[in-house]
Amino acid sequence: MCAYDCPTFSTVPSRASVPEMALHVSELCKDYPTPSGPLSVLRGIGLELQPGEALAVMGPSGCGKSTLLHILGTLDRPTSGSVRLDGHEVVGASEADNERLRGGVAAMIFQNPGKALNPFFTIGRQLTDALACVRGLTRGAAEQAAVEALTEVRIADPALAMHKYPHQVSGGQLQRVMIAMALSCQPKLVIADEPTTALDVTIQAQVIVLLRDLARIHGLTVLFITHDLGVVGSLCDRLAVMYAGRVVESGPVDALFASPAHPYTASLLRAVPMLGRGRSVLTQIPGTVPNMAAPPPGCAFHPRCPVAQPRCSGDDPASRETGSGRTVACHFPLPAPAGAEAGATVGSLAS
Amino acid sequence: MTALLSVEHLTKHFATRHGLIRAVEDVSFTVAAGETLALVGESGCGKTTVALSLLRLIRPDGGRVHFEGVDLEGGSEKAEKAWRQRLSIVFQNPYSSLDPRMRIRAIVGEPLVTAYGLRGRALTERVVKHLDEVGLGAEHLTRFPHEFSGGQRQRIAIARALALEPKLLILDEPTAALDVSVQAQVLNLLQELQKNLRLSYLFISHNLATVENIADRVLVMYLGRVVEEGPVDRVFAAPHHPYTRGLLDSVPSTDPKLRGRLQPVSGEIPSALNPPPGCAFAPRCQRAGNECRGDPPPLLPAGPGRSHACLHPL
Repeated sequence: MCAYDCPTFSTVPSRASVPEMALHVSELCKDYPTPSGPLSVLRGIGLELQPGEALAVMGPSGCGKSTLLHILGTLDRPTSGSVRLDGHEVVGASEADNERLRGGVAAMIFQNPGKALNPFFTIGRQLTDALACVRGLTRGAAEQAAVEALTEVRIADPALAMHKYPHQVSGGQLQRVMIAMALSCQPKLVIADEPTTALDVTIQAQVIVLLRDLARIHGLTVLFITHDLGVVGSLCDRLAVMYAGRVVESGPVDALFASPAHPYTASLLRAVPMLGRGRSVLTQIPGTVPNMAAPPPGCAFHPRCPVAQPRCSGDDPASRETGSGRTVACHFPLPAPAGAEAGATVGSLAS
Repeated sequence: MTALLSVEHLTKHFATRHGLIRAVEDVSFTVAAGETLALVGESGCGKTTVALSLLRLIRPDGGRVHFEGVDLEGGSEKAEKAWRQRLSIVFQNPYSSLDPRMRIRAIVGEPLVTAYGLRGRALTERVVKHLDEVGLGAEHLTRFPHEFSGGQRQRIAIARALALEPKLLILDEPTAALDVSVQAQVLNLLQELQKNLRLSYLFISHNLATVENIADRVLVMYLGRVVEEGPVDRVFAAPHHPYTRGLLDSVPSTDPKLRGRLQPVSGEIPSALNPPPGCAFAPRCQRAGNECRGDPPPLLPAGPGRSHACLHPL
């Protein structure tokens, strides 16, 4: 059991009609041991992803995004809870079983391709190694599949790129190589950790369009970890907002943007500069993200929350469903603005 | 409005093993008192070289820089030192720009010690004053940088930059390394400081939304040259240069309804070692003709306060 005494959650909207989720996470907890006691980084995460869906996970630094990512990619083990990847239970499975999921069922695209690729081997070698290892292809077949994968991500001269070392290729091209590597193993789920933040503005747009097109063609199931509301808006169907190791709000992107129910989501949407808003004073979120070694009692957001009540510092709100596939963990969720429909734009929040 | 800072034909080339890199080529601009000028462009466009040249952290190869009407070129060491008291910089990453072994009093006080030889209570009083300007209390004086969050560290870096009461602050992507939820705090603080202290800002960024939020005028750079200049609202509403248009179209919309609108510029930024002849943007430009591949187009005035360097403006 995890150190944090989490309330019983019903975080996951029930969708009984769908037989198998690409990803199903429930009551996921992760503690790290420290000299001053366990540090609860994930405190009861619930998520699910249908095949073909793109989910964005957003949250401030230190909210547990990376820990979640590592657990989903079977690179780390949780303290308790359940993670089902394409029907396989990951938690408690043997290392050999998880090894089979890595790359083949869940593939990762890392934030900084310059660091994720090995500088000592050619791009071709790194792609074919992955293919030989995960799909069991022969060297020749793997090479052919690698060239095909590079063509798919629109690398100008795939045969030439195979012989290049990572330092000979630009950052945008390297991120394409990372995407090719992830997709070449035909995974059921792609986990992308801020895939565009390390790139220049024009290159970022190219990669976003590439990912969007590939997702459409192959019906990819993607989990994006991102800071960028623009990436969320242009690539994702649903959004899960994390804060201090919990999912505080989740639901369809347009509904969340139009009428955020959790005060943190609402504050965040007003705090980020967006093109077209002009020279406005931003609504700032006071204070800083809580120190997880000593999280505030009750709701972790209450010290920064504009609508906090005495109750918020007492008990931690459980996540509950509010209809239309949305969940919120707040005692006093914001009402939907009068007249606002799901289609209203984020831009209208500025006024 | 008289210019506080005026830069004319600034040029900086770097000689490398592989050839000459023309990092900054004939860049001219002015910054008026109390104004924010944004310098926008992608990696390798020369933004940071411009900033470092202004601070004399690197020596430009050509061009003149006037600050409050005084020409810096050929100035003595002493004149340079005085110059550095008039303008200051806030770096991008407050995790690497603050010495982890120094206490906050020493970090913010160091410029005061170097410039005026302040010590003891006089120094503490000045440091407390500048910490107060950025919204930090005196209780932080004896703390170390690791005890602060990213947003607080950037406040400390701003306090250090303000220590010598400069007229102009160079802000090199001051919010890029910060969490989105605290970026607004820093941007609002900068706006407030500008109002209270009548500061001018040279704001370097590639985040167009942030630029729109804070800047009066914008200077768009591409591969060492200025391609467009003008008031932010007008440039962003109706850019003249195809590259500016491309940058604006590359910002993904937060509105899921506009998903299809993203129109990235094709191709990549050419190598500065081997720039294309003529307009550097021509190989990626849909409007480019043969004449674009001759000489680089000059930056010419076009409308009130605006100019662009393009033969086929939008």
